[in-house]
Amino acid sequence: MAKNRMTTDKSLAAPGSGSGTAGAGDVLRQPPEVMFAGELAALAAADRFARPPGWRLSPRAVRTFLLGSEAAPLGDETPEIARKFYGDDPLVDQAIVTLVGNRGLMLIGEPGTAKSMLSELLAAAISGGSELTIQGTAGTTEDQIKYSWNYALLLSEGPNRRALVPAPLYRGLSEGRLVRFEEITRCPAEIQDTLISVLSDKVLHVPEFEGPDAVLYARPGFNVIATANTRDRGVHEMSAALRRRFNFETVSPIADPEFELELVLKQAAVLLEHCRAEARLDRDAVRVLVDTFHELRSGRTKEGGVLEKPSSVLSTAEAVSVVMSAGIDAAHFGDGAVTGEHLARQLTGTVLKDDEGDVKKLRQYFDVVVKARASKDPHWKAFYSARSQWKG
Amino acid sequence: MASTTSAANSARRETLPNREELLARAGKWAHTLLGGPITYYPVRHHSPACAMHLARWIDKIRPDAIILEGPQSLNKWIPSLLSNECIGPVAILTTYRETDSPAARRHSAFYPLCDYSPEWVAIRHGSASGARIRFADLEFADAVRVRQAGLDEDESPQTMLGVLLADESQLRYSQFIARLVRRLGCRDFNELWDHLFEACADRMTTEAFVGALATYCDLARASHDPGCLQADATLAREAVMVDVIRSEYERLKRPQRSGSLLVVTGGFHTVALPDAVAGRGNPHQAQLDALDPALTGSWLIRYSYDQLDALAGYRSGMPSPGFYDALWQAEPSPAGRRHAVARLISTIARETRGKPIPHEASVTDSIAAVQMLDRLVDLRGHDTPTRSDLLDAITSCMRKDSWAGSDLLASIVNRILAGDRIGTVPPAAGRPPIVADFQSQAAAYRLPVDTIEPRGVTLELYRKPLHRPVSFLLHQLQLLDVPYASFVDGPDFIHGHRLGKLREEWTAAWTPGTEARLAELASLGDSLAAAAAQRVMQLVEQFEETGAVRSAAAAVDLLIRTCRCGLHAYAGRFVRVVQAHIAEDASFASVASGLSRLALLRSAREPLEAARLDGMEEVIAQCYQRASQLVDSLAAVPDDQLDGSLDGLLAIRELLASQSIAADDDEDVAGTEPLSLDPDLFLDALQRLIRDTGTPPRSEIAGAAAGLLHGSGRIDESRVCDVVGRYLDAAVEDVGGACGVVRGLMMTAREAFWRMDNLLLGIDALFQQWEENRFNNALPHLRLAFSQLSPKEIDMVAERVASLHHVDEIGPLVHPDVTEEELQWAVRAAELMNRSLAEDGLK
Repeated sequence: MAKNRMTTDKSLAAPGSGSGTAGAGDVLRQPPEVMFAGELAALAAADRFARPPGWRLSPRAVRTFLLGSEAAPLGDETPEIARKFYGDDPLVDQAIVTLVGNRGLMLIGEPGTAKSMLSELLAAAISGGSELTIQGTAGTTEDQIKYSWNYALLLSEGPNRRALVPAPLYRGLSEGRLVRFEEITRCPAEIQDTLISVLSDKVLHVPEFEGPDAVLYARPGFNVIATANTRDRGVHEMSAALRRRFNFETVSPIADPEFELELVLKQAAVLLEHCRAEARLDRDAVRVLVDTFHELRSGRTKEGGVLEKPSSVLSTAEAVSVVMSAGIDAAHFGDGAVTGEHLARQLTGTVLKDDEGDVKKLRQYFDVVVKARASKDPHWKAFYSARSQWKG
Repeated sequence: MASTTSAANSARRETLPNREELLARAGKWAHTLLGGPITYYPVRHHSPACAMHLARWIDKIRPDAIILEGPQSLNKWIPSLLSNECIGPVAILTTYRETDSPAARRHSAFYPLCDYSPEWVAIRHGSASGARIRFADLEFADAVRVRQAGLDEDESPQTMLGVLLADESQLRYSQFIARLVRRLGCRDFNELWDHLFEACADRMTTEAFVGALATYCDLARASHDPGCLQADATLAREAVMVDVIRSEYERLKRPQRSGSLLVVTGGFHTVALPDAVAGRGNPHQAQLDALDPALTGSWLIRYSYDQLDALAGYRSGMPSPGFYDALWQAEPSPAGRRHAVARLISTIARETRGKPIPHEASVTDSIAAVQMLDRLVDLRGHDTPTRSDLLDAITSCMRKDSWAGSDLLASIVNRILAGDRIGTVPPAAGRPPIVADFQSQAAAYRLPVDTIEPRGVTLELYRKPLHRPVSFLLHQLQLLDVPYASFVDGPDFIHGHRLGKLREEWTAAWTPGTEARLAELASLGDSLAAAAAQRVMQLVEQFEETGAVRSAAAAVDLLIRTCRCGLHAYAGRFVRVVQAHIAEDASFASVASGLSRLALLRSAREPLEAARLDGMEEVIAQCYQRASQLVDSLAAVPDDQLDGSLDGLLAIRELLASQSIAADDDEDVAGTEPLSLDPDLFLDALQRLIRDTGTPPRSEIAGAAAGLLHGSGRIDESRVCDVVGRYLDAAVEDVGGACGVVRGLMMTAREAFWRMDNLLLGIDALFQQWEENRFNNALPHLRLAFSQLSPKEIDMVAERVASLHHVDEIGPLVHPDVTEEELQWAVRAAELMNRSLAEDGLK
């Protein structure tokens, strides 16, 4: 399930790239520093503001890279840049400012809110590359974070620079670049705590070496961007010592339903084209789904009624995957037109998984809200018609 | 979530003028407003940036006369406002009664002023340079009357209580502003305002500032419908301003005076004034009859930052007055203001000390927050830190959790930024209106106001409509802790006690403490009703703050209390709170009890006048839906909630039954519409409860559900027997369970016990299998179950049981001449006899 979500997430960033596209056809997904190489070069050329030590761009240019030239303050002259991150401009400001300082940046939020993409874009703009990445899992070891050894060389030559195999943190410190730590809370707490001394003293000890090599001092430009999602394991289990070395920024789902609808339609169309499914997406039918997601996520109906929020993830990425599954269903087993019924049918499998409590909450939503709307609107009616197929 | 597509962009392409166009317009506006003999200065009320530039402008041009937005009747307060004893925040309170009668609709409005209000700054600086200062606006009473005249016939006039005289909502809500907020990536109007005007005011010239502000207001005004401006009395108000400006200008033009005139109004009006003043006639002047001056009044009263804070209440205005006060008091330079804001950060950090660990902010946290603030201010191109900059810095550096967590930090921040200043007014300002309100009401109702001798007051709630407002008044005084009247006897709608009582008994006594307490309450409102409403709001907030478990029943109590005080006009505001509590209450018993009390409230028409409550139907429907949803949870209801839950099931049945009776009745007996609840929601849930799969629910609940479903025709007799049989079969292990199902069924369908023979047969067969001991153990449970029936019904059941055993005459069931000792002795004897017979092999 987690894997599915991630692929959905990542594929959102890939299609229909902006002005800086490099069109290598044999790579499934380009990193942002390659995809937007043109924009980054143009920004660097026009950048008149002071750059913090180790940064490729000034904070303002980084902001423009993420939010587009339209959002630049009055009076700033910037090249034409496309917006890449939607929904929360102040969050981007706070993230950039945190990275200038001496604390790490912790992005937390529901799965599917583009935390990873935000961290990639920041790393690409600030350090020129987003590849220094540690993926947090239950099995992540210190070797994968700091450094390990080429044992053949270690045995023949003893501990020296040649035998050392640097991991992302080592490289980030020595090259003065941003290191991304994905899903940090999935790691055991003792592995997370590896970061404490590095974040506070900006230094990494290599006890196997003697002399000056035994201490690796961070070069300016080093910092850590960690991401954590609120659904798996919370940040509560993180040690207080590590917690205070991070600034926490919460990434929220998109608040504007119209805009989310736009994104969902766009992304689902691209994905459907990828798998050659000829489905016709009807705007009003999909709006029913997006409204449902919005209301369940916020716990309030448009009319002001109060709902119980399901515990399942209801992000935009999830909405895209519902529309995509419904599209495949319609293309292969129907006449190609995606109706509310197709969408509602996918809800249980794609979103609710096997949570008994969530099924109850969704049932209540259908009985109370959808049923009432079904009498007035054909799209809601089609949506409601799938209700009978569920148990209970 | 993000996309790199430009198509999403183009779908949202905004039709705002581009940058060059905006700059050109700003230049033109600066010339129009500041270039002529009359200068028009636009403000946002309570904006420090506007106040700063206005003070500079007055000191520069030294006008001979200043006209301020505000009714002319406020002119009399200008000397008080100039007094040294007058310290902000203060407010001028204006009131209007529609007629002379005590029951007349009352309206009131505040005109709050704090140290950094541009209007007060204009009064102080203008007076120092010798200018004549006058207010110009439609009188509040006239504005109310214009609005009422514009209403359609089917619309009922609104009571305006505690509104703001100089309202800025027109600047806040327009399509233009929504677009601008989105384009500039701001979260709301306040952030937009700070970003455009407060953050960079220092580096702008007054001309540039006024030009930008006027351009902004002009665009905001352009997206307003002229019909609305007519209806909400904006045009009529501006007609008065035009009138006063023209006559003041004529006065100044006379020989030997060649002075200049400065007009300070809300920016929304400013952009319309130059053309209107230069034009011909005054087409929008309101045609109103003269008003009895006794119906209106104005008072200068103390105000508090708490009241001024838009976040704390429903009134609009600049949020966080404490924050802007800190900026205003700071040394007037960007560095000085950054210092003042940094001081706020350390105050907030100090407040978190001693709080639970994740909330406590260390010294390094506050250092990081101050650094963060500096960098955010630079990154966003501000000079002065804005409120959002401060909030963002605190969020980043002090919150060690997602926003979804506790809001302790947020409440500390809101409190510090709101500030705690309370103003003072000169003694000459007179007595606060709430005292006068109490005295006039007491006199009208012939309540004692001059004697400390206690006097009894008896109120006929049902028979005499005139007694109800008196009851409301006394309940309001009690709610506000005013030492005046004490409740002796009467119906208690909150706890549902003594509902048969038709009268309320009170004793009332006036003391000097009564008036002292009322004076303290002046800041809560201009009338007792307004103050009581404010107090209920505070109760609601305390409720939220103490983190009391969400309870539908408690929220409904509050609503009833509100009606008890006659605060129907305000009750609408609590409906949302009630809704939220209902939605989060996880206890069926509590939701169902709330539901039945809501139904009681709705039907208690006379004393509570609940017909005047809006939104009751929606709340009842929501409560019903929530209760139906929670039926599922009854399967495993804990012991302490069992009785409440069973009562709740019965209450819902009653509600549904009365609804269908009312719907069948053609005559509208009660004068209220019947409810339209969907019975299927409840019945489906009950049916899910007793289906055969899964863990069986608690026996009492299963019995009750079966009874309810049978009563509604959902299931037939054999199904009821199935459900009961399931528990009876298991009775070997669980005696209480078997009796429970009998008890549940008996509560909801007692007639089953003399109608369904199979049921009796089953129970009878069970009892026969039981040994003496087991039966004795079950006896208390059975007694409890059978206590539902009346003696006559018990006789009826007994006869049927007897006939199953072919006994025609069962004789008397009760033997009053046998004492308890005799009975115990007989039981023991029977036991010994049975045992001895068994030992001897005779049984």
